[in-house]
Amino acid sequence: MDLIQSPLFKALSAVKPLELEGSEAFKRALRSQSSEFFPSLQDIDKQQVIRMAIEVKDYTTRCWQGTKRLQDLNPIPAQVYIPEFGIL
Amino acid sequence: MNVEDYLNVISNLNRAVINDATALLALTVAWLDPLTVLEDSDELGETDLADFYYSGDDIGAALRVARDCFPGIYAEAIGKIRDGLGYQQVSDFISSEITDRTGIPMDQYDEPAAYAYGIPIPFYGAEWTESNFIEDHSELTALALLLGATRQETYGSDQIEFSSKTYQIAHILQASLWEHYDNSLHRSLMWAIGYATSSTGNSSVDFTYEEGCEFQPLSWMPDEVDFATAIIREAEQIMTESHQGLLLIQNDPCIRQILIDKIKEANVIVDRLQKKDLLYGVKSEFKLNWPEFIEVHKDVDHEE
Repeated sequence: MDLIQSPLFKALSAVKPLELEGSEAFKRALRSQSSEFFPSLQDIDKQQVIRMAIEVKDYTTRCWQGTKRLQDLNPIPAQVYIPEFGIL
Repeated sequence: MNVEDYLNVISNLNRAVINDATALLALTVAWLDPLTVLEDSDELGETDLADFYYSGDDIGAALRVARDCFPGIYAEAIGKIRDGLGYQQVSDFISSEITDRTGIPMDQYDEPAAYAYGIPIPFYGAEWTESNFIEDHSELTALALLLGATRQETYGSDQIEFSSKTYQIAHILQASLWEHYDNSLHRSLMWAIGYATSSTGNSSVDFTYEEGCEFQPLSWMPDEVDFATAIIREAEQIMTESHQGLLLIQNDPCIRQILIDKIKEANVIVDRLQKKDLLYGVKSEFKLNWPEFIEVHKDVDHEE
């Protein structure tokens, strides 16, 4: 089965990239501090840093949990043919 | 490559990152939560704090606790490491931030960053078997004696002994003062009596340090950090108000006399209820009424 042509791949590809508050702040910080690869957090409001850190930690936790669930999935047959009951 | 070329490369890379959603997401994670990238997620969740302790990895333990319980402090600590601060300074920063935000006394650890020992809790419990404590807490000792406790000399040093009746009297006084909880004067008297008899219901106030050490400490988990914070904040309030109550009893003759009268009444109530076996029954059974202290103060001011 060609995965690239599968409906699941198309559905997943159509999902918009996740926008985190941290990503927006990272973009802004990169624009203002173009010489740094990882910009400093000192210029960002403390409450915002807390919000961003909680959001990113939740996001990475969800990603790991999702990956583990996918790893534990058993294969599911895409087509089942049971001639005894005439089911295709 | 000169500096200008180097900065141009960085600038181009930054632009590329901003325009690529996946790279942006990955770098945001690396920016704010690098432990996720550096360590296997299973190890990150399962490594025991004791492993950090025995390997002498103070900063590892501090970052792990900060990541689990204080994501904001964690992100700031990571920022400080990137800014070039030493590990010891970052570990100290995490400790002081935890104390500032929760009241947890991080300096109570015998060794720095000994997170493996659990959450440290302050214990203010009255140590009535210590003669130094009795001398240093004369107001509290005076209240205990008013309530019916006795001073005894054991092995050449003074101790304060409480009979079960003293605790029963304190119980009745506290229960009746609870009815006036919204009044700060009544409340301060209630907490003072509770502190003297170790019966406030707050473990931090009621237990001495030695008694507190008998219990399994709370561990560095978000729910238990919240619980420890609630205990510590409440204990701070109780200790402040009980101190005000002790000063009131010592300095205000009117309130002191009212308290003495109420102790006498409570004494009679204990005798009456003990006969009927109703001592720990319904609070209204006590029928111990307190006056409004504000009016009492007005009268005192008027007389002056």
